Amino acid sequence: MLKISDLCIEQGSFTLDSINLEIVNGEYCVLMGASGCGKTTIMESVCGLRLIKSGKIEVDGINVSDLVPAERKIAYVPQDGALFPTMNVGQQIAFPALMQKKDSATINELVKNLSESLNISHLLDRSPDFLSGGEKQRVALARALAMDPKVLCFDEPLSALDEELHEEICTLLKNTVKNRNLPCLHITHSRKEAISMADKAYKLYNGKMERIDLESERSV
Amino acid sequence: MLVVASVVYLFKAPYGKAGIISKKGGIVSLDWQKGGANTITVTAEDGSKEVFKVQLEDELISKDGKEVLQKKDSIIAEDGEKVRKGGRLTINELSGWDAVYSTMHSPEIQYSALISLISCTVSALLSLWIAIPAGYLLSRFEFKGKRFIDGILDIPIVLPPLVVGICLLALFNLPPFSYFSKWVVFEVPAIILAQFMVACAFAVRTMRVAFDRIPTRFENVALTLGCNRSQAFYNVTLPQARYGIITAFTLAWARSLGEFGPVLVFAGSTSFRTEVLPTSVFLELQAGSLKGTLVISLLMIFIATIVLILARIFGMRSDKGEIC
Repeated sequence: MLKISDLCIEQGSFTLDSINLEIVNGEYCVLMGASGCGKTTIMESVCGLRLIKSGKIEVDGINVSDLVPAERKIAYVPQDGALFPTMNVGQQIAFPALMQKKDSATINELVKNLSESLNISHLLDRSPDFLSGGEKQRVALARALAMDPKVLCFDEPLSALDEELHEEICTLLKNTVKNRNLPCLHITHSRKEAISMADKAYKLYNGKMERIDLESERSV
Repeated sequence: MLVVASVVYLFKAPYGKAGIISKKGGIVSLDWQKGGANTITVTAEDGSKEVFKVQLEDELISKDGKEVLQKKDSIIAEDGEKVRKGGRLTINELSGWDAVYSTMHSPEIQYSALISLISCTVSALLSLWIAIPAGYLLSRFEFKGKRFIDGILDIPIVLPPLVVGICLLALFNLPPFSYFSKWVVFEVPAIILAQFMVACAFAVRTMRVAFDRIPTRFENVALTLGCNRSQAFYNVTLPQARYGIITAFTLAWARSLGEFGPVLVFAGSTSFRTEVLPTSVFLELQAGSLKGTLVISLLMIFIATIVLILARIFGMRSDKGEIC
């Protein structure tokens, strides 16, 4: 479970105040808002990449606000996946396990299992430059799952994909969250995407979060 | 165009009678002094002999239907003297190939080429050693005095090179540096230090630009995947900066190779000790051997081009992910 209480972030003259959010395991939460409203700032703060002024971030009841990103167990998948350009797909997926100093047999097993489950086994030797948008997202997801996360964070994962892939990756992300029973925070600027994917959705406007009534939005 | 001009001048026919060099080296015998012909005989160690006909007096000769004065050979070799391979027997201007042969077989030039290669490589590596962390620090972090450090790094670039050498000389005359001066000043470390002072500034600038061009999101993702800052730097950022590293190394190396003023002031120009290729050019020019100067200059251009080509090939391979 991810719980954010009274989070306050200051970035120069830009302030986000009283951010409260609770996402239970297996729940798909979408945070939407216009470009530049601070969605990514919130996500980066949750992941530990940005300092917070006050408030608390809890993962499974443990306060992680003062922990470094590596200790938070929060997987972060940015817009284009941010695949490391000097590593092939296999090395990308093995990377978190290598950092955890796991033995090579365990790492090989992990890469095999994840690549099979995300249908990217045939891409293991390929460089990120030779992957399509959908394949990049799959690899980024596999790499994020390889660290055995407790929370999944997706930063506009569908914005760079065409219509066909959009549907495919939507289903993949939703299934991954359900199957792994993890809390998921997904940010997007698309209202349509938020309504179609979310179990719970929020809108960020003028530095404040307000909940969206999905039932009424879907019935429109 | 300048290179072509140098090559054309080098291989242009010498003015007047061409100078003579010994291709094998050995003991010189001035035969006319022993009642023989007007020849110089050089006897090599293996017993083989080179015989050169020389002209002892000016004479009028017929050339293209005109009478022209042919100057005598200005002989500099002495009877019984041992000359090296490529050693000069007369002082007249050499033909192009003879100038190349003579210069390339000169032990002083061979030593200065070797010391240049070694000192350039060491100073370029030292520059990288400073440039990688300094470039990363300046690119990624905001801290007090950053602008000041940024400005200081530009000083060696804008300072006249000779002044850098004089400043180094002054520095090593003051404690605590003066305690080390007997091992540094006018010794090989002085060459490396003089080259490093300027090359390092260029390397830091290059590395900063290289790190600026790598988005921070890769490092951010690596941090969330279980890395600490140094692991993210070594595993994610540094491999992406490899082309910048190669460029910085090449730039520092090439800059070091051409460094003359600070080296001359701080390290001197002692043969077989602190003579580097630019100093050799200067010494050859002082000796009035323009063709010798051109040979060394072309050698420097050749070395620099080879390094540039190797760096490009290596860089392109790295770019394709073959070498990480």
